[in-house]
Amino acid sequence: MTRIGPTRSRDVSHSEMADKLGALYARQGAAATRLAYALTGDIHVAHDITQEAFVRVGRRLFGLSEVEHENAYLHRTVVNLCRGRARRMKTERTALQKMGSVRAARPPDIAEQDAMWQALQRLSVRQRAALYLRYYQDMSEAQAAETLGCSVSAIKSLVNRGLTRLRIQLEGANDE
Amino acid sequence: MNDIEGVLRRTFRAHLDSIDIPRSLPPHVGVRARRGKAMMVAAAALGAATIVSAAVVVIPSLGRSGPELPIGGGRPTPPTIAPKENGRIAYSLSGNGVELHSMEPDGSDDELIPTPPGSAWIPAWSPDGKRLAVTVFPLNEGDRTIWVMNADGSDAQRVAAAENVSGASWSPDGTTLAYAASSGDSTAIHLVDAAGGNDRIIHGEAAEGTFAIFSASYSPDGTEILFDRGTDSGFDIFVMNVDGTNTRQLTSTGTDYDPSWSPDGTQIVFTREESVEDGPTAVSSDIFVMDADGDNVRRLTDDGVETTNLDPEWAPDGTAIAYVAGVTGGPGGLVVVNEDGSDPTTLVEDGVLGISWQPRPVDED
Repeated sequence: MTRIGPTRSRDVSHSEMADKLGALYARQGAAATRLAYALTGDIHVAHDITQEAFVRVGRRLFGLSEVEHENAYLHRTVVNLCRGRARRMKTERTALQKMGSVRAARPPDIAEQDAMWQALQRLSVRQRAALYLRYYQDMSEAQAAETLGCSVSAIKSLVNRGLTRLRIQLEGANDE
Repeated sequence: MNDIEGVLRRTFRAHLDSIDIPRSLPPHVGVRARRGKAMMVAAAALGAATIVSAAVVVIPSLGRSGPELPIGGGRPTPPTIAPKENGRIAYSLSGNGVELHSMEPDGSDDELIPTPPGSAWIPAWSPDGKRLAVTVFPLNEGDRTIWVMNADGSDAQRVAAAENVSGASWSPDGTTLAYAASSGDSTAIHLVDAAGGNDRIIHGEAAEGTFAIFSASYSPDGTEILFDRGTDSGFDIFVMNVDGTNTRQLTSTGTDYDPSWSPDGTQIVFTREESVEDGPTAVSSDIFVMDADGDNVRRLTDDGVETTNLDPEWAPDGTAIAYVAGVTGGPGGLVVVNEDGSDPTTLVEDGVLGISWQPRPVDED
């Protein structure tokens, strides 16, 4: 076994990490949890993803220079964890459907907001994230672009495509 | 719907304003964050990959604050590798559970291969075509496992187990398997002896900016491992030396995964996701090919918004590519195309999950 030599960079004490993470959680924990729930539709998964996001952000906390960058990195981490989970889950989920699991049918009298919520779950994670940032967090296009780490034009495209897809789904449901 | 934006705002408020938000983070979050940061600090100080135990490799930070990963390039010219003859295609089929089948390349002579109890999800032929490594998912609770067996399913030996494992990839000499595994919150690339034992991690998830590792694939000359992993922007394809050093990023779109080597090691076929404006699914995916250094990316399939083409595998003689042609990323048909994407032929209509193409054993009649 090869030993690691003494480190030259600054290490972090347990209390420093706990304090820094606690402060960030106080500022952004609710927003991160809501984002994870909006992207997964499962509150338990949202809690797990939020915790994992804070673990990863914690590893970078002493290198990120501004609160805004911390927030953007946290939001982006949540989005990508949700995307990774969606990718790991999709093959298993559709395979189970193929093997005969019953998918619950939507009741015909479902309320408008429940229909919208279900339609949201059929969007890509990035489309849902863009809509969440613009229509729940009320971010500007520039703020949303910074949060997702993409261009303003990409945000416009994600929002427009997401709204179009929602409209198609909901109008199609109304026609049934 | 006239006021879709208004309904959207009200829907978000109704569903998100009153969800349960824990008052604080559990203590293990800080412990794990600090532990991960300490590993990164140590790795940065070393400036190179270092074996820290029999099982863990610490690699340099790969995030924005660290050195930029080289994109493509720098790959030495591989030695000439002779093509092999195309043998049977093994594939997993969902329907009555998930069963393993094999058939001739023209779709004839389909046979069921017995496998250990569970769903036989992902097959991988050995380089000599005489054995199979199969990833099996349990029917109920329990680890996912990798087994090595003879081509007829006999003499199955379990060689790996974890909360989740990928398909296995054989070293060209048939002695070692590479695979990705996750347990709890971490994923890593492992090597293990094909006979079982000597399981070790060569690339762990301590690297900053890594979210998950999904696959591992030996190069035909045995010197490199190709893999895909989550990044800050999505999923991308990477390659590294077989000892875990010299990691290079080959794609940077955030939408690329399931890479597979050509038999001569000069090209890589992979899946690329594309967002779509209309259609029943939010994304579609198609098969693309690139040079082994990440250059010259070109599309192989273009089947429109309703399809998710996935999991491409090269034929052993290099003249064709097989892939799963599905919808919504699930099981689909097994399609074979020429290496230029022409002349698609559907060999299995639906229900296919994983594919592996056998190099015909040299002593077979």
